[in-house]
Amino acid sequence: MTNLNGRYAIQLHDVSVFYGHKPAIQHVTMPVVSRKITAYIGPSGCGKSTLLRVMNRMNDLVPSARVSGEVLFHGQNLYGPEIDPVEVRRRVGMVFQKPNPFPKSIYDNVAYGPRLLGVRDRAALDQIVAQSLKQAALWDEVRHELKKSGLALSGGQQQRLCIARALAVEPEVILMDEPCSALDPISTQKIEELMRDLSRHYTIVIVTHNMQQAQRVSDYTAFISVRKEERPNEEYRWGELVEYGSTMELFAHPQQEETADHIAGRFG
Amino acid sequence: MTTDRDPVALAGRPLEELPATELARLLGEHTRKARLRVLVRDEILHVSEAIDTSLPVDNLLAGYAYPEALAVTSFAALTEQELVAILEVNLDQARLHDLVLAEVVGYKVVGSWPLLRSLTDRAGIEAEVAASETPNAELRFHSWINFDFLTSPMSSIPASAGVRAALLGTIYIMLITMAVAVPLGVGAAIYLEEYATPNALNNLIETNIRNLAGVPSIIYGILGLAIFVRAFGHLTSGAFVGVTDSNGRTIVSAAMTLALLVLPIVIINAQEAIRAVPWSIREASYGLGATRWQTVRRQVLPAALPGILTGTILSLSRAIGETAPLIVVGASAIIFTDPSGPFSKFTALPVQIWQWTARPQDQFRDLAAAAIIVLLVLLLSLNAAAILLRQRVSKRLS
Ligand SMILES: Nc1ncnc2c1ncn2[C@@H]1O[C@H](COP(=O)(O)OP(=O)(O)OP(=O)(O)O)[C@@H](O)[C@H]1O
Ligand SMILES: [Mg+2]
Repeated sequence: MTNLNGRYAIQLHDVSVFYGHKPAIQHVTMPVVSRKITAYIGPSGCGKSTLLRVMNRMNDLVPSARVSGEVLFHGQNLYGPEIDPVEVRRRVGMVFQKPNPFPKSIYDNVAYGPRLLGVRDRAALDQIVAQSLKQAALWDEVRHELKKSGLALSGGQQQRLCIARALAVEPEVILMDEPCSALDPISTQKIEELMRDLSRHYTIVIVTHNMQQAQRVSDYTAFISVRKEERPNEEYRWGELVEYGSTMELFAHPQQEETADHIAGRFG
Repeated sequence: MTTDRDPVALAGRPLEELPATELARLLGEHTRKARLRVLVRDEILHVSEAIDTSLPVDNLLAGYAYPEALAVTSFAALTEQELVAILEVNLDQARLHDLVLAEVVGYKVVGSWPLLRSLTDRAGIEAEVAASETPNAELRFHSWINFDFLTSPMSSIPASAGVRAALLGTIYIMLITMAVAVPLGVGAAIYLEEYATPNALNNLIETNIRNLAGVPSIIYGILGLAIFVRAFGHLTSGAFVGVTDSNGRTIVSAAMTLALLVLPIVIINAQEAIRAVPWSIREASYGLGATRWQTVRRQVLPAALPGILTGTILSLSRAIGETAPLIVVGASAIIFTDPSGPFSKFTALPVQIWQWTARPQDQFRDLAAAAIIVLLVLLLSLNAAAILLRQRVSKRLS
């Protein structure tokens, strides 16, 4: 990895995560390219979500989780002693697998982040809410009912509301953990278009189980696979990065047999 | 009920119509001196222990009204007329009327019948009354529970006794109990659920809270006696604000004891309510860069509020019926006056009920039954409030 300043939003260096004494993912070294979409693929339980959560320190909320290695964000280690995880999460936003709007109005959902940052001015909030909803391609559907509860929207709309909510704090990176897995094909298509759109301004990292989706939306793909080791009384299973490259390359000419098997749907 | 004398024959017209002076005169003519002294003690001084009758009137009745001419006379040397004069300047006509009824007319309830029989078997009861040996027996249908019962103070005459002091005592105690237990309990629940990491110490604390919720209430009473009445007596007696007669057996002591008693229940209920808030809401909040406190304050607490409120009101209804700890902490046996503040002596509804049931006379048991109904209504309305509140708050949230 040559030092192309600004080209990489995040660089992972030998990152491992343990839950208690059990490893979940080990020795991951790879970059996340700025203003591109990076997709993680891999079998269930290989630690994709865990790795994603490393990038905005959401793992801190799990008491047993322990992270080693370096996660560089603009050259700064996110796990350095002087880093405030709250600040990290403002700059690296997250969208979850299951849409999780707050039990509040659409407006209050989007305004939540800016309010945390101390924005009180009504006009400024109105402007942020409108802009975020437009960016998330939800504005036209909800512009006349901003007072309606976020929970009253359809699943696909809820997920776009969650994206709008994340955009409202103007993060640089958006992490999305299987954002379409709970949605119908049409909503999925809308969100995929939205991701393509957003990648002009934001760095996006997504986890997906859907090979077609990875090919449709992402610029870079990382394949993570499971390693096992028998220990007395228990079996350790953890994920390792098998292959990383541009999506086109990786799907057309996988370098590893394991990758080829996985994208062809042959599981060992 | 029976009477020793015919009330109308006494004054030639119904007693209720007599002015205070007339009633006082009747009382003086027909009551013995010793009894009049007791009446002065019970009705004016409101103390239940013996008084030093050798003291002069101005000393003994300091702070109360008395005819100026009697100021230096020793209490023991007062004549019937003089004692009655003291009663007359302190009591109103209604109270004097009650006293004449009880002391002169000898108005007594000798028997009472259950509600069902009074409604269905009036003839039978009348026959029983007619056949009884009691002279001057008279049958009256009287509802023990009415508005006067709520607003009259305690009295040694059952027919005019009420639950005012006990009801006010209960209300005062509950207010302070909740003011102490709710912030502490909800705070502890927030700490345990949102801040504490699951280590050995915190697990021990959690287990203990669960155990404490099952400790018999009398144990809390003993604890309250040791801590609030004895150890911190100088604070709970209100000596620092000039209250001297309470001995630490005050409304605050009782309220703090009940607060200890309901604290584990409040904590457990609040914990359940907080735990029921979906993890995904917290995740969403943290993901947007909220601090722990911001997440608790803006997401977790509002979502848990209906559950916390319901739990709190339910624990309040547990506390409201507690008797044993209050007796141990020192509820007063007989109280005639309203509680004057957090440092006054107290009694409470369940204590009053218990005391009335312990009296030998039947009528006090009728009073106890009436007081139980008051307590029951209070409880049911609290629970209804819990349900309404819960519905309102959860409607506002969704
Ligand atoms: N909070 C946690 N505590 C303990 N172990 C956990 C925790 N979260 C995940 N794990 C373990 O870490 C491993 C990786 O989990 P992770 O959720 O990252 O997998 P994943 O690749 O996202 O799987 P999926 O595709 O099914 O979402 C699993 O073995 C899981 O059991
Ligand atoms: Mg996952």
